[in-house]
Amino acid sequence: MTRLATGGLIDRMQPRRFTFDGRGYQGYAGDTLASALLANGLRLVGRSFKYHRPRGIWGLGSEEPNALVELRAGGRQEPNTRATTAELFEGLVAHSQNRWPSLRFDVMAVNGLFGPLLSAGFYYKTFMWPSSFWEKVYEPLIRRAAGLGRAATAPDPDRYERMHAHCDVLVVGAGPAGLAAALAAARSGARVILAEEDFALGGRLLADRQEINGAPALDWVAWVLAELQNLPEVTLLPRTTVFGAFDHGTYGAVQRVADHLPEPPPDMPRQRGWTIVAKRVVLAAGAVERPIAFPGNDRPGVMSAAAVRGYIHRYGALPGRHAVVFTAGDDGLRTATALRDAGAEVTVVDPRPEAPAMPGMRVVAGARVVGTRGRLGLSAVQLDSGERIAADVLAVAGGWNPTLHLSAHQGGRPVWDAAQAAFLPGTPPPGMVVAGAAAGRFTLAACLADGAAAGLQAARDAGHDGRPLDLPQAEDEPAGLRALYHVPGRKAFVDFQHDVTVDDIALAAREGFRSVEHAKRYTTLGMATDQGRTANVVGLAILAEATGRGIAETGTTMFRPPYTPVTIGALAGAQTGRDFRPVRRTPLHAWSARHGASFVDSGAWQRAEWYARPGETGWRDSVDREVLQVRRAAGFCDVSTLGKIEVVGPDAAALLDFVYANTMSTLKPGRIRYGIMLREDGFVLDDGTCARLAKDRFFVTTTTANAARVMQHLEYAHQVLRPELDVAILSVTEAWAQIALAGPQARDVLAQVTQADVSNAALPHMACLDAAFVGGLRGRLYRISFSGELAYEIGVPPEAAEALADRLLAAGAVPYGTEALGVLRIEKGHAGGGELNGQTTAGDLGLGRMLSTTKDFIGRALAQRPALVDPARPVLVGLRGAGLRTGAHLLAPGAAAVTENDLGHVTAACWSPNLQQTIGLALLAEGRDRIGTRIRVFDALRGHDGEAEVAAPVFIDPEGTRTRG
Amino acid sequence: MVELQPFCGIGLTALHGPPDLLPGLPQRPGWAPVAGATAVWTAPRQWLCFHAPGLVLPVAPAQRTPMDGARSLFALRGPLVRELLATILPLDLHPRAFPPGAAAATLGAHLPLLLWLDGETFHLSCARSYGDSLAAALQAAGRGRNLRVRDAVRYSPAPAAG
Repeated sequence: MTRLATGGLIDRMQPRRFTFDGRGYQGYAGDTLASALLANGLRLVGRSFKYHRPRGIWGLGSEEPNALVELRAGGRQEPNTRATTAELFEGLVAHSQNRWPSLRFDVMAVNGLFGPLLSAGFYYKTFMWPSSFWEKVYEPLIRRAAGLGRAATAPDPDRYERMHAHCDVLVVGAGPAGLAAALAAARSGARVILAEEDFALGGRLLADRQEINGAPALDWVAWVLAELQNLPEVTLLPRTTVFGAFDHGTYGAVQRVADHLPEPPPDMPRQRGWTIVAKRVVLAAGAVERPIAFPGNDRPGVMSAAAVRGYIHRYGALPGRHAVVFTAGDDGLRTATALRDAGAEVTVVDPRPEAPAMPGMRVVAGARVVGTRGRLGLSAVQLDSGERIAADVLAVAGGWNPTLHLSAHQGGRPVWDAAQAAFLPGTPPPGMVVAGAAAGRFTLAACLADGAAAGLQAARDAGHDGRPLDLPQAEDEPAGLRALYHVPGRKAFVDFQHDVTVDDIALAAREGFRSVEHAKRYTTLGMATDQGRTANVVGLAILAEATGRGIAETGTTMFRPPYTPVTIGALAGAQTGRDFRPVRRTPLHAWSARHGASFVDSGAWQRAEWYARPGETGWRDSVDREVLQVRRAAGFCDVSTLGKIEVVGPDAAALLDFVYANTMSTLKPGRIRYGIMLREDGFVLDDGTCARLAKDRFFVTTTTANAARVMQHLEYAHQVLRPELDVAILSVTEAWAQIALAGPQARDVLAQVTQADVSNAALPHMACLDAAFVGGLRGRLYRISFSGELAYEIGVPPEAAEALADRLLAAGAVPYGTEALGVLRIEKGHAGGGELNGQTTAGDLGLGRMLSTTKDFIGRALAQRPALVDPARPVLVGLRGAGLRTGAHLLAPGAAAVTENDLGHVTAACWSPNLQQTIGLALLAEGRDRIGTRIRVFDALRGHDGEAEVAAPVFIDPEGTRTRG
Repeated sequence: MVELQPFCGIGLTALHGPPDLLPGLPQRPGWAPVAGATAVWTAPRQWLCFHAPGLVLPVAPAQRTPMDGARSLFALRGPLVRELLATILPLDLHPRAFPPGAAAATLGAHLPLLLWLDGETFHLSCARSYGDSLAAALQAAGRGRNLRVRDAVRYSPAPAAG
């Protein structure tokens, strides 16, 4: 055990038992998995991605590149979890990953022997021939050999939630700068959100022993939090990572609501994805200590010096009793002091010849670490003098990288500051200011002052005046640094997670990958789950050196969201499974379900596809029965999904004349006309009926699929093209339950449910009227037919739909679904979705004569383009023949099945129970001239190759006598 | 706690005409009690009026379109109502940003929605066909927030004193 007897912010009264690779351990509340592992003396926690080298814990937070574990099990199994951010809970189960058969003995570690061969670009150079092997042999092998954890295969049992928030000031990071910023902003009355990815607020103050106002800094943290918690306009979000900066002050964040619990309580989401809209943002995300690349710098026991200090102070865990601190700056000396105070034997290795003496420890000035020893963990450190120092922990302090990622998500490029040996924020997104260590202020007093000023200014910019904060008193600790990025030698790792070495980057430069973006992709530097948080600056420095440029000239790669990995669940929220997207249900949905309907998705709508009856053995039985019932007696179909638009006003007729290709202004009140609309480019947009209800009111119907598009088209035509017209356009789709009643007995059925005169004289074909229905219902009757039968559409308010359906059923009609509707329309040759496909002209559909020659209308000019009036265009025809399937291609008999010979395709096909044969509709080149001939029907996808007879598209009652009967 | 009150029997009329079509009609995004109805501004010169079924608003037929039953409607109130709504709505519902009398057409849970605030009671309306989906979204949003769903009642608009 390396747990110190006292100290730390853990609760020693609350032990937490957990297992790692099946073996039980104990930690305390307030531990992370990483701190608990260290406290139990474990240094080896994982294997590296490519070489399967033993790896330990490097860092303290989300920057951790090495200690990735699989957490939990079953549906909750989560791979690649950073042990440094996983809060310890009772019963936590963790496994190391990417090793076999065990962590200590990993067969794939043999990869390390081939290290010289597995250099940057190895895959591209090696697995080139034969090309067919890549997908089936090489890639699967590589993926098996190199990898991370295993995702759960069982469904995730937890739920997730989305949340939207708006604020005046969003403060990202709750270290000294963030807390000061939040307090300064909040006191002005501004709405403040303070987001912190750690479960505890305080940032580095949790990991360091510093004083503010002459007292422990954590006292100040507690005082600030107490005030913030009592301010009603402040929202504190611990365990929340702001992962992306997006347009217009929008930020994405993920809150780990229940990740620290064994299981979320039933009503608690596991995670919550936030969309935060902020007027101003203070980015106070701190900084991350970077490593120094030297041979063997990845051995378990080699750690970030700042992390070592944090494990001692925050968790009371001593990572080693024989410590070497390799530091290029003053910050590492604070770690040396912490180690000494915790009882470790400490040697400081400082490349600065002027390195100060430190009481109670040995300082080797002007020296460097050039290697490490140990099999599965550090046992000794090799210096450039040749001296070897026995050690079980090597704390490395290479300087700090400001966590500026969010400042660069909108394209702002970081700027190299040679004096601080760090990239600092360039131009942040509008409304963002960067403060504290994220802005390159690495000392406590500077952070506090910077945060307070930034918070106050942000609040003022958001419209809240406030007074400057009385600055808490703190000291600026020594922060001298000599830039040191790497020490020569082999196996010096830059990107721990992707096993990228100094040699790899040098090789990339030699092979011409001089651009930082190219070198990144060639070597995979910074492309792992940690996105190179510790690796990138070191890598850039090495690339700069290898290409003879400065670091500023070399630049950085593009920063993109997310800052840390985000689960899909947090992005999806509640929209999963059957709630993936909303559905639309007609007023008759429940009625249809009670009467045996199954439903088909039609866009967002759920439509009854057929109504099965007892004894029917398959869908065809139901559909054939329904079709025959309509043709022989009467049936009714829920067509409420059709788009319905009322166009109202003194200029309604003028607008409709402008959008319909045919004329509507001549329509008399009480009459209906079939119409087509063209797009601007001359192709057909949609078809439907237009009923004139009054002189200044029209009722337009659209296809289900095009309802929104036609509404948009009408609004565009009015608002943009003809704004002078006095007209209102209203979608009334939802206001009417619409039922089509069709069949030779339709009038008799209708007469039983309405008090209106429905005789042919009173309600002829293409007429409409307001009607009263039995039971006191009011509605409308439209004499129109999609099936080719004597037919009506009945519109009633939605709440009256079920009563009407009951009465139609009682009057002898049977319900039919969309499948039967489709058969009936194919038999009648009406254009539907397959023909109104955005590529057909009115002429293609046999509707060319509807185009008015006496008025202007949208699409008129472009409909006359030569290609659109070419007589060789595919036109609508009918087909008869076995095996017809929608999508099959049409060829001249005997012609080869090649694109050049393609004459068209089948747009719809069905079995006609009336004709007792398979029929279809098709778009066929010179189709009208081919009526009566035979055509080859070729369907490579479904393996059909046959012939069909070309026919006129109307199979049933071409004279239309039934419709008008 | 949040109380969810679904409504049935919703009379609805679309008004379209000049700004002075009826006294008191809101002229910008908002709502107002008008002629026994809750009039919600939906576009320049257009309003949706929620009222008891059968009510005929006193304007010319050419300036009103009956739409009874075309929309689903829910009322929500309670201490956590803003938090619940924030799970599905992208709008800023802070009392300073969305005070009583405010209304908005917005998108939530992938649904086009109308929202207005009457006192401390939010009203949320969608197209009738989406009603089941909105109800399901509200139920999901209510988990962990002590959502109490009442039986549906016929809609009655707020009194003119609003």
